[in-house]
Amino acid sequence: MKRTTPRLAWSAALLILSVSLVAAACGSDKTSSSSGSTSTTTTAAGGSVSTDYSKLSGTLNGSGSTFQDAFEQKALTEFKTKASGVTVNYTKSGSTAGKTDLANGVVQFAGTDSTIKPTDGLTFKNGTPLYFPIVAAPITVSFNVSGVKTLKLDAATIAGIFSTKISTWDAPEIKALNPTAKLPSAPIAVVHRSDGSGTTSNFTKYLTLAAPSDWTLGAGDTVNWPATTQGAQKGSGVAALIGSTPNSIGYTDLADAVTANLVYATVKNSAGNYVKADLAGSAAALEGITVNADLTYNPLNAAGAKAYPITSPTWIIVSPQQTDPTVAAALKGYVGFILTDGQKFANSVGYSPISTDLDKKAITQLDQITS
Amino acid sequence: MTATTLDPIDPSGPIVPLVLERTVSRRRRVTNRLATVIMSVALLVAAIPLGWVLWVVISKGAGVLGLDWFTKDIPTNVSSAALASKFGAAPETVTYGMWPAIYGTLLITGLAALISIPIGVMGAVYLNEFGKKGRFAGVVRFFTDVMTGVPSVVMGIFIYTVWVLHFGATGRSAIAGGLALACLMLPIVVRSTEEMLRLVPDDLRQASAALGIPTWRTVVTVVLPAAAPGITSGAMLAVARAAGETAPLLFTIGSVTALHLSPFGQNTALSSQIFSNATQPGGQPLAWGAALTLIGLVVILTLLARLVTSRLAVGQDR
Amino acid sequence: MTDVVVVDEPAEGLVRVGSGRGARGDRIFRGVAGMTGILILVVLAGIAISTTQHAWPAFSKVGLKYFFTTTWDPTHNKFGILDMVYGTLVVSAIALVVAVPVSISIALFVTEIAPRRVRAAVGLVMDVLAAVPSVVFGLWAVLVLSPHLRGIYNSIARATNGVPILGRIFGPSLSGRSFMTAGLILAVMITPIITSISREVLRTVPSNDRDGALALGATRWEAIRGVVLPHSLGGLVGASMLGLGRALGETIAVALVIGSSPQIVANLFAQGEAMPSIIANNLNEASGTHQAALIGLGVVLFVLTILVNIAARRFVSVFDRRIKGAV
Repeated sequence: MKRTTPRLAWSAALLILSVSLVAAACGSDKTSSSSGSTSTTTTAAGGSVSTDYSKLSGTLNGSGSTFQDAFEQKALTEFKTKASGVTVNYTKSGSTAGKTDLANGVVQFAGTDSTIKPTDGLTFKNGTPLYFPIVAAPITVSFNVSGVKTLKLDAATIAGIFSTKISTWDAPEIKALNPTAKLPSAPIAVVHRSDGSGTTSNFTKYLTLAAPSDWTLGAGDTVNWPATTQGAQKGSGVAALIGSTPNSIGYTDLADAVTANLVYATVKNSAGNYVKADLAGSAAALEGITVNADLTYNPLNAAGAKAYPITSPTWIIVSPQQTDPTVAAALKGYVGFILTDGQKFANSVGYSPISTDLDKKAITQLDQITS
Repeated sequence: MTATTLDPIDPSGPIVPLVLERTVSRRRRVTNRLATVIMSVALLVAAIPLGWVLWVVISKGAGVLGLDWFTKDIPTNVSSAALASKFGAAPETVTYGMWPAIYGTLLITGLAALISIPIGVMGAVYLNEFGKKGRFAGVVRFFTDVMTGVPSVVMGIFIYTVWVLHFGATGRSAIAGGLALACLMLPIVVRSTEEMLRLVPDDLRQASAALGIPTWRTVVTVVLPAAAPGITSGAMLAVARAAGETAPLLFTIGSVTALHLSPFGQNTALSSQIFSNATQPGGQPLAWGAALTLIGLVVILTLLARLVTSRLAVGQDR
Repeated sequence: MTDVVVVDEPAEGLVRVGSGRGARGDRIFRGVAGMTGILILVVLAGIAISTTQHAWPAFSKVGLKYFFTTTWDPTHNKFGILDMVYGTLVVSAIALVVAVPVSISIALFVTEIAPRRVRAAVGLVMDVLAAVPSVVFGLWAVLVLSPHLRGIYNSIARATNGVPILGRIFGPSLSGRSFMTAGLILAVMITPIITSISREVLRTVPSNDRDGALALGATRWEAIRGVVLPHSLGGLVGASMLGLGRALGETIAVALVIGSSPQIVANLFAQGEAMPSIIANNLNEASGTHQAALIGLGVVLFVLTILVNIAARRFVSVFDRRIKGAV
């Protein structure tokens, strides 16, 4: 009996020692990476932010909009190379969850594609959140019908499809807009978001604006979808479900649609032109928008010959009164980075940068973050 | 207790003459043959999915494993790399790493083991050395058995309500996940330890008592060391089970991807990474690789447990 | 060890020393050990109390409609869990229908037919099956199995189109994620537990009875059917119920392949939703009444699995006594 105890003890000790050695070795990697020093960046548009990124430190947690997730992941990866002392985490949980998390102080910043409404029932203890517009992008109407690669749709038809009033692919309304397409007589499988989503909010808002007599389900982060439709979590979930479900149709942001290799419809805008859901279309929609004082704006159903009508805005919201100066500095650094360098790589991940004017206003608003 | 078969082919059974063919009707023979075939094939029905899963995990996961996998951070540019080519940007390389999740799994399961094993062993000691057939011990034994049947997601919800909701922003942490897994492991450790303690021959206890050693010292210096290999092995199997759990961690550890060394503050784990990457476009290599790593971890723990039992066990028949 | 030892009863288990430091040490040790026993009860009670407390706002706001309606609409604070209960029951039923015959057949194979070496191999396969984490099964099921099965489901749907009952049960499958896929993956996961308990139960059949049947001229199958199975029926039911308990609570694999669409339909190849999986997918982002409603589902799950487990153990305990001591 006695000989078992020393053997066990030795093996346990060896195990603990090796694990801690590995942990130490890997832990030390973190501090040895070098970073850029003082950076004064100038945007292509002319605004500038002067930040010593190397002096920033801390952890920033953000959550919310899945619409902007692809951009956020790119931004925080790039930011890490500039400000190695800051770790930014972004969890895509849907705009509603992001706004709630910010109200509860669980995160330092939230991503949202929809504004905060009194009916949300949220109280923000550290001041009314500041909206920082970061990018915009098309909401695609993606579909999966074998043999059909292009589809033309207008607001009334989209409203009919998503409210299931139009229930088969070869319905006359769809055929009228696409006379040469080989539409099957199969039922349409409608896919929507099952979690609280700013994308849903903007999509339904567009339908209320552009087809008020055909769309009766209202607008908001969540909507009472008909029973025969299917829900999926997050934009990537919707894209994945469309991809795996034949004869399906759904709405999701461009980045998710492209990642899932989906095809999407060209939509008739308010000028009567059919516009593709690409960055040129969303850039055109951003021209001539009216910006509110709090930097919110509405590019849906925008005027303009080349505007893509379902262009969605998206913001990072931050509480103005910060309690921790380090966090406040890191926040300003990260958002400032997005408003300067971030605008340059927005296109590469499927987003349109905001206009120079709006960018300048947003950079100025950074000063309202106090600690 | 081993069943003796009267199969004429089984060399360990008694010799039975082959009378079946001559005295049994054809229908009964056919039914017997059919039943035998079905029972023998049933194992295949269970083994085929298992083989398929293991084959797929190994073939799809082996590709990402390498030195980078075990040392580098979880990539955050998986989606942007996939998008880069589609939007005409310069191609990006994705370095598939999983170290933060490996560390997280080790940390969280380590904390769970640290909490549940001492308590579980003491509980089993009470049941087998003190309580024995008493009423209170019977009640504890009954509810321990009941607790093994509680779904792991309920343990997660429990710690979510008691710890995460209580502490708010700072609640989600490795320690919270460890507590949830500890709740899961506790009844398992108690039961397996009790089995091991029961196997220690009473002679040892009596001899110790005859020497005048108090009960508690007997337990600590005689009984526990005698049962130690079995207890260790049982504990390792419980740890292996806990390492693979996802549901209790969903609500308790948060969802970051960066390495976080402290037990406080959000963390990640292999099982959570598999779950979140399963339906994430572009995340499949990460998911398969993490699955292979997790299975590897479980296999290592299970093999170690068996090794401990077979090499070091005292007084147990195999 | 210089104290005088008085042994006042024959040694059976541990003898308590009557005097000196030893007694105090014993009392402290016994107290500590006893407290860990209490701790288990405390944790179990804590689970019950804490979850019910946090679920209470949903119960009080929604009332009985929580248990008996099918509308689950967080936006409008409507929470009816019937869809999820239906999903859980259907998926578990499918799992049992597939797993119980297979598991009992394997257990019979091991105890009645297999030579010793094969028995070890079977044990190994069952152990490995039990060791694979459920998230890995779920990953394989959603990425590999579901796409495969979709084609099979749709073929079956076409073949049974128009047939009275079968046509309703086997309808078209949109994406392979369905009640049936979730049920099948659950069947794979609960096979080890049903098999291992069934093995223990079958071992308690007195060999005299079985040998007697064989001596009277029964074939092996007739001996099994006439002696072994009737004798172990209660225990096998208990084993199956333990498997059921496991199936009811399985979260992750089901969450990945059931399709996340709460609905009550006859079509087994359609998407649905189960109790644990809707919690898994939504609890983190839920707040207020929605959060309470989800925790309420956890309470229902807790109560359900405890009841099933207690009933199962009742069935098995009769046989447990025979295995453990009174042979």
